[in-house]
Amino acid sequence: MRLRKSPAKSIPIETSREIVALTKELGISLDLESVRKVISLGMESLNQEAELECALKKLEEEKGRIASNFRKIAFQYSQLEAKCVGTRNWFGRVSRDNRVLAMHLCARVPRGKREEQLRDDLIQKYIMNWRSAQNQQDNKGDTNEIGLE
Amino acid sequence: MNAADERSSTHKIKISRDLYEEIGSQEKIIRSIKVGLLSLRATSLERENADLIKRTGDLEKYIAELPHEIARFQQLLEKALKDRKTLEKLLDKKR
Repeated sequence: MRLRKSPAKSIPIETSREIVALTKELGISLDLESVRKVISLGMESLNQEAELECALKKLEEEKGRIASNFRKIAFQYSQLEAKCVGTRNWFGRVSRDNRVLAMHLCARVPRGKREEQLRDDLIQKYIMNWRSAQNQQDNKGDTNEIGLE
Repeated sequence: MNAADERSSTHKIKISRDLYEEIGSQEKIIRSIKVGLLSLRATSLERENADLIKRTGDLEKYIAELPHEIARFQQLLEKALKDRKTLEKLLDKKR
Protein backbone atom coordinates (compact mmCIF):
# COMPACT_ATOMS: atom_id res chain seq x y z
CA MET A 1 0.00 0.00 0.00
CA ARG A 2 1.36 3.43 -0.99
CA LEU A 3 1.13 6.18 1.62
CA ARG A 4 -0.32 9.52 0.47
CA LYS A 5 1.88 12.56 0.94
CA SER A 6 0.67 14.87 3.69
CA PRO A 7 -0.33 18.26 2.17
CA ALA A 8 1.66 20.15 4.81
CA LYS A 9 4.97 19.86 6.55
CA SER A 10 5.77 21.13 10.03
CA ILE A 11 8.97 22.98 10.73
CA PRO A 12 10.08 23.63 14.29
CA ILE A 13 11.02 27.28 14.77
CA GLU A 14 11.81 27.28 18.47
CA THR A 15 15.42 27.92 17.53
CA SER A 16 14.42 31.20 15.92
CA ARG A 17 12.95 33.22 18.76
CA GLU A 18 13.00 36.25 16.50
CA ILE A 19 10.38 34.71 14.21
CA VAL A 20 8.10 34.03 17.16
CA ALA A 21 8.67 37.55 18.52
CA LEU A 22 8.07 39.16 15.12
CA THR A 23 4.83 37.27 14.49
CA LYS A 24 3.59 38.36 17.93
CA GLU A 25 4.64 41.95 17.29
CA LEU A 26 2.97 42.03 13.88
CA GLY A 27 -0.09 40.25 15.23
CA ILE A 28 -0.10 37.65 12.49
CA SER A 29 -0.68 33.94 12.74
CA LEU A 30 1.52 31.64 10.78
CA ASP A 31 -1.10 29.54 9.04
CA LEU A 32 -0.41 27.87 5.70
CA GLU A 33 -1.53 30.84 3.61
CA SER A 34 0.29 33.46 5.70
CA VAL A 35 3.49 31.42 5.67
CA ARG A 36 3.30 31.15 1.90
CA LYS A 37 2.90 34.93 1.59
CA VAL A 38 5.68 35.68 4.09
CA ILE A 39 8.07 33.27 2.36
CA SER A 40 7.29 34.79 -1.03
CA LEU A 41 7.88 38.27 0.44
CA GLY A 42 11.17 37.07 1.93
CA MET A 43 12.30 35.55 -1.34
CA GLU A 44 11.36 38.67 -3.32
CA SER A 45 13.08 41.00 -0.86
CA LEU A 46 16.16 42.64 -2.29
CA ASN A 47 17.55 43.21 1.18
CA GLN A 48 19.54 40.82 3.29
CA GLU A 49 18.61 39.92 6.83
CA ALA A 50 21.41 42.07 8.30
CA GLU A 51 20.41 45.09 6.19
CA LEU A 52 16.81 44.75 7.27
CA GLU A 53 17.77 44.44 10.92
CA CYS A 54 19.86 47.59 10.61
CA ALA A 55 17.01 49.45 8.87
CA LEU A 56 14.58 48.30 11.56
CA LYS A 57 16.89 49.58 14.29
CA LYS A 58 17.02 52.97 12.57
CA LEU A 59 13.25 53.03 12.12
CA GLU A 60 12.72 52.17 15.81
CA GLU A 61 15.06 55.01 16.81
CA GLU A 62 13.26 57.38 14.43
CA LYS A 63 9.92 56.30 15.90
CA GLY A 64 11.21 57.07 19.38
CA ARG A 65 12.21 60.59 18.31
CA ILE A 66 8.95 61.22 16.45
CA ALA A 67 6.85 59.89 19.35
CA SER A 68 8.70 62.04 21.86
CA ASN A 69 8.14 65.13 19.69
CA PHE A 70 4.47 64.18 19.28
CA ARG A 71 4.04 63.91 23.07
CA LYS A 72 5.58 67.38 23.54
CA ILE A 73 3.34 68.92 20.89
CA ALA A 74 0.26 67.11 22.24
CA PHE A 75 0.97 68.46 25.74
CA GLN A 76 1.37 71.98 24.37
CA TYR A 77 -1.89 71.59 22.45
CA SER A 78 -3.82 70.32 25.48
CA GLN A 79 -2.58 73.28 27.57
CA LEU A 80 -3.67 75.78 24.91
CA GLU A 81 -6.97 74.03 24.31
CA ALA A 82 -7.74 74.08 28.04
CA LYS A 83 -6.99 77.81 28.13
CA CYS A 84 -9.21 78.41 25.11
CA VAL A 85 -12.11 76.39 26.52
CA GLY A 86 -11.71 78.06 29.92
CA THR A 87 -11.82 81.56 28.43
CA ARG A 88 -14.77 80.67 26.19
CA ASN A 89 -16.74 79.24 29.12
CA TRP A 90 -15.94 82.24 31.32
CA PHE A 91 -17.15 84.55 28.56
CA GLY A 92 -20.30 82.43 28.24
CA ARG A 93 -21.03 82.67 31.98
CA VAL A 94 -20.50 86.46 32.08
CA SER A 95 -22.71 86.88 29.00
CA ARG A 96 -25.52 84.87 30.59
CA ASP A 97 -25.23 86.92 33.81
CA ASN A 98 -25.35 90.08 31.73
CA ARG A 99 -28.47 88.84 29.98
CA VAL A 100 -30.19 88.34 33.34
CA LEU A 101 -29.09 91.82 34.47
CA ALA A 102 -30.31 93.28 31.16
CA MET A 103 -33.73 91.67 31.75
CA HIS A 104 -33.92 93.33 35.16
CA LEU A 105 -32.96 96.57 33.47
CA CYS A 106 -35.93 96.30 31.08
CA ALA A 107 -38.28 96.87 34.02
CA ARG A 108 -36.53 100.08 35.06
CA VAL A 109 -37.16 103.56 33.77
CA PRO A 110 -33.98 105.36 32.74
CA ARG A 111 -32.99 108.72 34.19
CA GLY A 112 -31.56 110.96 31.57
CA LYS A 113 -30.53 110.58 27.94
CA ARG A 114 -27.17 108.97 28.64
CA GLU A 115 -28.66 106.26 30.85
CA GLU A 116 -31.37 105.65 28.29
CA GLN A 117 -28.77 105.20 25.55
CA LEU A 118 -26.71 102.80 27.68
CA ARG A 119 -29.82 100.87 28.69
CA ASP A 120 -31.00 100.53 25.08
CA ASP A 121 -27.57 99.43 23.86
CA LEU A 122 -27.27 96.77 26.55
CA ILE A 123 -30.81 95.48 26.03
CA GLN A 124 -30.14 95.36 22.30
CA LYS A 125 -26.89 93.48 22.84
CA TYR A 126 -27.93 91.02 25.55
CA ILE A 127 -31.58 90.39 24.70
CA MET A 128 -32.33 91.24 21.08
CA ASN A 129 -29.00 90.20 19.51
CA TRP A 130 -28.79 87.18 21.81
CA ARG A 131 -32.14 85.94 20.56
CA SER A 132 -31.16 86.31 16.88
CA ALA A 133 -27.78 84.68 17.54
CA GLN A 134 -29.56 81.84 19.33
CA ASN A 135 -31.96 81.42 16.41
CA GLN A 136 -29.05 81.28 13.97
CA GLN A 137 -27.39 78.61 16.09
CA ASP A 138 -30.65 76.64 16.28
CA ASN A 139 -30.99 76.78 12.50
CA LYS A 140 -27.45 75.48 12.12
CA GLY A 141 -28.27 72.69 14.54
CA ASP A 142 -25.20 73.62 16.57
CA THR A 143 -25.51 72.71 20.21
CA ASN A 144 -22.38 74.56 21.33
CA GLU A 145 -22.80 77.34 23.81
CA ILE A 146 -22.75 80.69 22.15
CA GLY A 147 -22.23 84.10 23.47
CA LEU A 148 -22.65 87.56 22.17
CA GLU A 149 -20.11 88.91 19.83
CA MET B 1 1.31 30.06 30.18
CA ASN B 2 4.25 30.40 32.59
CA ALA B 3 7.91 30.72 31.67
CA ALA B 4 8.61 27.00 32.07
CA ASP B 5 5.70 26.09 29.82
CA GLU B 6 6.85 28.69 27.31
CA ARG B 7 10.32 27.14 27.18
CA SER B 8 9.05 23.60 26.88
CA SER B 9 6.47 24.37 24.20
CA THR B 10 7.59 23.81 20.65
CA HIS B 11 6.73 26.49 18.14
CA LYS B 12 6.06 24.96 14.78
CA ILE B 13 4.92 26.35 11.50
CA LYS B 14 3.18 24.51 8.78
CA ILE B 15 4.23 24.86 5.18
CA SER B 16 2.81 23.19 2.11
CA ARG B 17 4.87 20.25 0.98
CA ASP B 18 5.09 21.66 -2.55
CA LEU B 19 6.60 24.90 -1.35
CA TYR B 20 8.94 23.03 0.98
CA GLU B 21 10.21 20.92 -1.92
CA GLU B 22 10.50 23.97 -4.17
CA ILE B 23 12.69 25.84 -1.68
CA GLY B 24 14.65 22.77 -0.77
CA SER B 25 15.91 23.28 2.76
CA GLN B 26 14.55 24.09 6.16
CA GLU B 27 17.28 26.68 6.68
CA LYS B 28 16.31 28.53 3.51
CA ILE B 29 12.65 28.48 4.55
CA ILE B 30 13.39 29.90 7.97
CA ARG B 31 15.65 32.57 6.44
CA SER B 32 12.93 33.54 3.94
CA ILE B 33 10.31 33.70 6.68
CA LYS B 34 12.59 35.86 8.79
CA VAL B 35 13.38 38.23 5.92
CA GLY B 36 9.68 38.38 5.01
CA LEU B 37 8.70 39.19 8.57
CA LEU B 38 11.45 41.79 8.90
CA SER B 39 10.22 43.42 5.66
CA LEU B 40 6.68 43.46 7.00
CA ARG B 41 7.84 45.00 10.29
CA ALA B 42 9.84 47.65 8.42
CA THR B 43 6.79 48.55 6.32
CA SER B 44 4.60 48.68 9.40
CA LEU B 45 7.12 50.91 11.22
CA GLU B 46 7.38 53.23 8.22
CA ARG B 47 3.57 53.58 8.25
CA GLU B 48 3.48 54.19 12.01
CA ASN B 49 6.16 56.89 11.67
CA ALA B 50 4.38 58.54 8.75
CA ASP B 51 1.13 58.51 10.73
CA LEU B 52 2.80 60.07 13.79
CA ILE B 53 4.41 62.76 11.61
CA LYS B 54 1.01 63.55 10.09
CA ARG B 55 -0.66 63.74 13.50
CA THR B 56 2.13 65.98 14.80
CA GLY B 57 1.65 68.26 11.78
CA ASP B 58 -2.11 68.43 12.40
CA LEU B 59 -1.54 69.36 16.06
CA GLU B 60 0.96 72.04 15.04
CA LYS B 61 -1.69 73.53 12.74
CA TYR B 62 -4.24 73.62 15.59
CA ILE B 63 -1.61 75.07 17.93
CA ALA B 64 -1.00 77.89 15.44
CA GLU B 65 -4.74 78.68 15.36
CA LEU B 66 -5.46 78.48 19.10
CA PRO B 67 -3.71 81.71 20.25
CA HIS B 68 -5.96 83.70 17.87
CA GLU B 69 -9.03 81.97 19.27
CA ILE B 70 -7.89 82.61 22.84
CA ALA B 71 -7.22 86.28 22.05
CA ARG B 72 -10.68 86.57 20.46
CA PHE B 73 -12.43 85.12 23.52
CA GLN B 74 -10.32 87.25 25.87
CA GLN B 75 -11.38 90.35 23.97
CA LEU B 76 -15.03 89.31 24.14
CA LEU B 77 -14.67 88.50 27.83
CA GLU B 78 -13.16 91.91 28.59
CA LYS B 79 -16.09 93.61 26.83
CA ALA B 80 -18.61 91.41 28.68
CA LEU B 81 -16.98 92.20 32.05
CA LYS B 82 -17.13 95.91 31.23
CA ASP B 83 -20.80 95.54 30.31
CA ARG B 84 -21.48 93.74 33.58
CA LYS B 85 -20.05 96.68 35.53
CA THR B 86 -22.22 99.10 33.55
CA LEU B 87 -25.32 96.91 34.05
CA GLU B 88 -24.69 96.65 37.80
CA LYS B 89 -24.13 100.38 38.00
CA LEU B 90 -27.38 101.11 36.15
CA LEU B 91 -29.35 98.72 38.37
CA ASP B 92 -27.77 100.00 41.62
CA LYS B 93 -28.59 103.59 40.74
CA LYS B 94 -32.24 102.73 40.57
CA ARG B 95 -32.40 101.00 43.97
